[in-house]
Amino acid sequence: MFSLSPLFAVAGTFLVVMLADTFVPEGRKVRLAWIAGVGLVVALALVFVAAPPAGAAAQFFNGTVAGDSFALFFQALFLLLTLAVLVLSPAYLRRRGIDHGEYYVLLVASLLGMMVLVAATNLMTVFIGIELLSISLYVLSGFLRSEEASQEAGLKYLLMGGFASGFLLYGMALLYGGTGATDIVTIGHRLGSLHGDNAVFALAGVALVLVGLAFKSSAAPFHAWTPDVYQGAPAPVVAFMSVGTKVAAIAAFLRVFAGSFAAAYSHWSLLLGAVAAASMLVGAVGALRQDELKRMLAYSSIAQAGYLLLAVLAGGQQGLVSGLFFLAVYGFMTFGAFAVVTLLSRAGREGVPIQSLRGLGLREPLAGGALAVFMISLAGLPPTAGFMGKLFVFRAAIGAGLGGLTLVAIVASAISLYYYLRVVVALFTPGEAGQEPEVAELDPWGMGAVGAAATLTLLIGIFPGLLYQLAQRGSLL
Amino acid sequence: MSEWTLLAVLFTPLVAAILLFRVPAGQARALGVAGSLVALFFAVVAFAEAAHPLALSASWLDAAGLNFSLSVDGVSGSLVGLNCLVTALALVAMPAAAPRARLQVGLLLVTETATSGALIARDLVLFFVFWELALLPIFILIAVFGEGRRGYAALKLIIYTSCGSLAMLLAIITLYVAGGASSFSFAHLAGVRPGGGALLGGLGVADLTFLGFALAFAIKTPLFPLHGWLADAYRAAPTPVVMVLAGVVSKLGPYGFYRVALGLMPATMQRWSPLLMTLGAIGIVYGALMALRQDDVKLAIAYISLSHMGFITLGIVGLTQAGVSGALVQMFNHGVLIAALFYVSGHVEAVKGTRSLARISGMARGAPGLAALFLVVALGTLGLPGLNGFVGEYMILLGTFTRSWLLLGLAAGGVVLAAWYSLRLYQGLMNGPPGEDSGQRVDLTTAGAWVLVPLVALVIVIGVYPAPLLNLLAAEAGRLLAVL
Repeated sequence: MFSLSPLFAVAGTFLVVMLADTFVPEGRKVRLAWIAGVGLVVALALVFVAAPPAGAAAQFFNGTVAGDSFALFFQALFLLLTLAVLVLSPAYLRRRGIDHGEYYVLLVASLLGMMVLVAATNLMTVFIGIELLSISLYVLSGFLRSEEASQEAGLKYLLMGGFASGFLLYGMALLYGGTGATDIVTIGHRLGSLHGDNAVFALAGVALVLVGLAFKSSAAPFHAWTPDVYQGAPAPVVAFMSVGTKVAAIAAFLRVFAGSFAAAYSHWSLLLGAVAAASMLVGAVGALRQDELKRMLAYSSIAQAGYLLLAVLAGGQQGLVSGLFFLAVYGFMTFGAFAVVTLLSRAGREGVPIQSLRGLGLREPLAGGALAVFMISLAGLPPTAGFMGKLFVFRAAIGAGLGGLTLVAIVASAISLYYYLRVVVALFTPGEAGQEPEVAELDPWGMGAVGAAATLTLLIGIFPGLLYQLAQRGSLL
Repeated sequence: MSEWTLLAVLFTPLVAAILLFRVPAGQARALGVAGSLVALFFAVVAFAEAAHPLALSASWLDAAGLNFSLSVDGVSGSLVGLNCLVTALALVAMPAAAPRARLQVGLLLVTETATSGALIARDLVLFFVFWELALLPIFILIAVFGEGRRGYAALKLIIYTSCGSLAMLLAIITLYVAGGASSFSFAHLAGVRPGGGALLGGLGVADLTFLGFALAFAIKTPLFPLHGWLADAYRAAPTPVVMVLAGVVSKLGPYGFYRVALGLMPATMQRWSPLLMTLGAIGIVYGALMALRQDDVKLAIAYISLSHMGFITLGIVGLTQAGVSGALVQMFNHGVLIAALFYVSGHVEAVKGTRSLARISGMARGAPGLAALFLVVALGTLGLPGLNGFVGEYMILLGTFTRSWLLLGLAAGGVVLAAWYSLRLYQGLMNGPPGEDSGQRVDLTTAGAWVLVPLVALVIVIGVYPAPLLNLLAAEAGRLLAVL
């Protein structure tokens, strides 16, 4: 039970923050960030204390929740992410005049959902995790209530997310009908040996669950909501959801599909392969035409989902290790990119046109340099973590005989060079004299978060060993 | 000398780049030059041991088969020395009051470390990391300090080369998996032949793997018809950057053909040799003809470089003892010559305010020193016996002779055209009636002399007495070719 302690700690934090909100006066809501921060640091410490010995079976609540090193790896990642978002948010919320306490409450609730999802070993807990993380995010996306784009983001995310939940739940019902189990390991065992109607139900169920999870990981062709939601939602929320939701959903893919359903690989690999290939290409081509950084990053995250699914498809020990590694790397670089967007966004201008970045790397070497590092890392160029992530994923994929899909990934990466490096060129092209945009004070706390993410992105690119070892430990399902 | 020399060669420029944060902008250039010269010293020390190459290998990430292995043999050593020298001279060539001096010096030093790293790496992933890292700073340098459509040129350069790199990445992983998925080291992967029958248009996995490598190397070289980035990038890049880019970084292309393609996949390379040779030979003539058509001195030199790189590629992919040895020498020579030529072009532009051949003439009268040094460089470029360009070109022609008469004819035509474009450049700039402003001082500054004199000295020394370098490189080429 001890290995579930991080979950309990976060649940406790959620309750404390919600209660504290009633006592903290308006305008001082930043105190909630401190309270939440303390709770999350405790939870993070518990992750390291609670780490079970490798390979130890750790299932709780009738086998519905696992406390294994796979879950703990991702829980640590989510805790780090949320802590960074807590550091990033207060200045932004004050600037935009939305310094409400619910923000922190919802953030922690969503974090709890992510942590449940990566620990879920039963269809029911998978669903609870997804809903917990999503419902909080529906509200957070529309948190800039006075702006139409944000309202649109919230509503669109809610509607599309509701559909996806429907798919997911229907798929789970069919799976239960076909196999008579909700436990994913049992389902995995029975999937291979079904006949008649049961097989049809179960396979339809697998397909629908796949669609539901693909929606959450914004993989094509279920990606349509992503650009609009990312564009309209408050920037720190996007930093949180673009990393958290996707990482949690892909982690669920890894545990459910690459892990438990591995025996029925041939039943879902074709479908997932098509989704992966479509994501890579749609994301890459879509990003080419974007002139706004947030939208561009939205499409880029669709393409990244494709690379991540490649690790799921590769499967096996290599696939899991590379998947965990790349997910962590994806988290650092994507959070960093959106964190810079958060720093740059100003009242009345939520987006960041790429043109407006001209010369930023020369005027603000830290923020601009960090953004350049994230872009280079997202493009997968050394010496950054993004390169190592791609190297390991491609290695796993080619080792598993997925040469064709890897070729698609290479083509998509080649296309992606343009839109990522275009940003770097803008950052380092001196502006015309007199046309330089005014330099507003950048929030020092946010800069700290950005700097940490950039440092990690570079360090992992040069010394991948430590993260790789953690991923190896975490890959033992 | 111990293996620490290798680390010193590799990291001295990087350390200097980090120290730049601690010095005033006015001293950035001096620190950069000092760092490069120290690296050059260690490179020479390592090169002196090339007969028994220094090697160093440490685990980088065992679980994934990554090794931090380095080694300096004659080929690597000569090019690393060239790299350190050209970077040091490029820094000297930087205007004293350059804007954002620290950024410029720092990025050039990072390029130096990365280029040296790619030249001495003996692990495919390490090679790849340095290979890409060598270009990123150049990309930013062109975007920040370039002229004209610099953003476009920078983006074009990096997208071209990185597309090649991605193909190479795929090839690297395929080779690694075919080699038992245990190590990326050159020694482990040498001779591994990925199995698998016809996939695309009758090509096997081994062919596609080789082509992945070849694409990356051909773009970096650049080999005709993949030179699309060359004219824009060379024209946009400021003088110090183009000296480094054309002089050393682009050498990684033919070096890759030699070390990786020939070293790891010799049998497959043999199959593709005729195609690559043809492209090289076409490049020689194409580059030469394009050079003759340019009015812009810098562009003319860019195409001269393309023509020379065609020669080098022709030698290496020809897979003959004479050709490969000649190409290895020529890589060094070309670096010396092209850096000097680009410096001259930069100097001419600085004093004349233009690079148009039609508008400049008769500089020799006002700049006798420049004229004398430039003459040696121009004669070296056209391959005059007794100067360095002759040694390599002659051996490449000798090697081509045994392979194909037609290609020999093309290459020999390139030699004739070389005389034309070299003298056209020299006469256009230096001879003829001096312009009305001939009274002003247009000769080299002291710094300029410091840049050109060492290069010209190398042009003469290697031309007169190439034997030590040539014998060393020929012996190494012979060992690599022995497996064929």
